[in-house]
Amino acid sequence: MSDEGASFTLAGIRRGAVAILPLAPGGLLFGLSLGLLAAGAGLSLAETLFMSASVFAGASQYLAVELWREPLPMASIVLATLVVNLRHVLMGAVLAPWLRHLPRRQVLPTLFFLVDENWGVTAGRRQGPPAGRERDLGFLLGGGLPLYGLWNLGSLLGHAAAGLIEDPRAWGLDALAGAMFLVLLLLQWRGRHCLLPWAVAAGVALAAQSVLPVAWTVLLGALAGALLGALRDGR
Amino acid sequence: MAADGIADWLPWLTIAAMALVTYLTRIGGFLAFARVPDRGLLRRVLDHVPGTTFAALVLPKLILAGPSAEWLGAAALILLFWRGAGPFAGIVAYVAVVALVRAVTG
Repeated sequence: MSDEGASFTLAGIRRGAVAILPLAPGGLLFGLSLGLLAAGAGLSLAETLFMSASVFAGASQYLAVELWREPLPMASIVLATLVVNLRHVLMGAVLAPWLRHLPRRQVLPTLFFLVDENWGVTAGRRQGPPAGRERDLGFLLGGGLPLYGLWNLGSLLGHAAAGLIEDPRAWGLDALAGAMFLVLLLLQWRGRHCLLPWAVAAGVALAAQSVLPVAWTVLLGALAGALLGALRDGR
Repeated sequence: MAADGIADWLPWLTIAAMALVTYLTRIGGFLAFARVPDRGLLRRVLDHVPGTTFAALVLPKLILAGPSAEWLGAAALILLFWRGAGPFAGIVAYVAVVALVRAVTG
């Protein structure tokens, strides 16, 4: 309906890049941390850069590096990557009613740059009354491009600096990740009716942690909370 | 010789396969759900997914941490956010509070 005026403009790209700025320093530090860990796991600089440039999905790359050893367990690594990144399917589904109004030659390349950060910021701009929603595909791409550049730059610097820095965890990167995801959560806030679905999502994810890997608990919690919210809203 | 050749390429093949499955997850949701109607249950579920995804990602970790430096950092971030200070100030405050509390409590 309101998304029929969907566009793809340079102004949108610029708007998206500005909106992602607060999360950009974190993106660089995530890349640095990955480069350090990759070097520690025995990946060459070329392999690390190839992975960051072609996969561009932080959580799955951390896990892959964690599983990296001789002989290389290719099947486990690829399967783990798939499971950790399954949440992209949900993320794309959320954007689908908007993106279907745009040509696929614009949408499919742009989706390569879909990550938690630009999705979260974009989704935050698409909550609320239809008239005020962001509907420029450039906004999503503009958020993704700086993150892509910084992710690769960080991976390069981190790998190069691996000899100099002993323990990447001592940098407080765990706190930074927590802060960034909390911001992305708060960007979705649209009033107290969010509380119940969010609480259910957190509760289900937490309860499932004793039996499932974290990637699955996030999917399960997200779906359970969203379903409950949708059923309540529908009455 | 042949086995050596494959072993040399295995890291690159593994990474290429990671890239392929990741891109499929990125376009899969869009392609599969491009025809979801603007109204109805499925639409309403998807409207809630951004919030519940980040809730499922971030809140369990915070809850499991118990009363901690992270709770104080989160409180500072939420307070700043609520006062309209913007995301960057919130992130800086969170990390600063966590670092400070960790430094003080050892």
